[in-house]
Amino acid sequence: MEEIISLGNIQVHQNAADWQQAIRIAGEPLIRGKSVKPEQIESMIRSVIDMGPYIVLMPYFALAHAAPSKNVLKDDMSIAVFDNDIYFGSDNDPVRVVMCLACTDGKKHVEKLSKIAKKLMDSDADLLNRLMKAESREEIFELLNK
Amino acid sequence: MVPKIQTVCGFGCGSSLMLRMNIEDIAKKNGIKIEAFCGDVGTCLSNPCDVIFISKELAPRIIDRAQVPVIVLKNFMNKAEVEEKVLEYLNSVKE
Repeated sequence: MEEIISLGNIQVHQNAADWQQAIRIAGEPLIRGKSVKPEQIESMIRSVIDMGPYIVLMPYFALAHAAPSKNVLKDDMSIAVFDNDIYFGSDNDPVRVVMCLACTDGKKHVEKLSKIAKKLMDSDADLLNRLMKAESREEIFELLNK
Repeated sequence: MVPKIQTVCGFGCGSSLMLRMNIEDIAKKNGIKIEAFCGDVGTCLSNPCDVIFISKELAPRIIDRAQVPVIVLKNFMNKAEVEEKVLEYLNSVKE
């Protein structure tokens, strides 16, 4: 089965001083893997400033993303789990899991995103709790991709 | 009439997608036919639809200018809230 998030795009036990840094940390694998240019991560940050923290979709979880642009080289997703509480200014704060979504105009990411959405909603608090308790990247990989 | 539902988020590719899937699932589970698509907050008002579902942070941006009912969700990913509001809307247009 094609993996939803690759092992290299997973980070665990991270610490961020604020939400902007949290997005930068979570998005770093996407830059490293050449899925996005650094500007796209900055766009994700700007979108929260412009539109408010609506990306905190549920308690503990934020989905950082920005409009498809020339700064997105390919569809990709990354995830970072933080040991400290991150505050976005949302009613759903604090956040501990930040997922970064790089999307091109195409529909390729749709299916992968739907799979994650289903897992987040069906197991609800449980998947998130297990992500937050995960000790290693491999563990998170299993949780998301199986 | 097949209700045309637009789910709106900042960019039409992230949270609105998740919401759209959620709504499609709920409609399917209840045997109701709908058409759902995603939009972004900047252009959603020019997309023809019967109703807009949007998060409470973004709602103020469109609520005064919307020509269709706008349903505000506190939590896009809360299945219970989404289900309640979707069914409420779908039942209201069935009559």
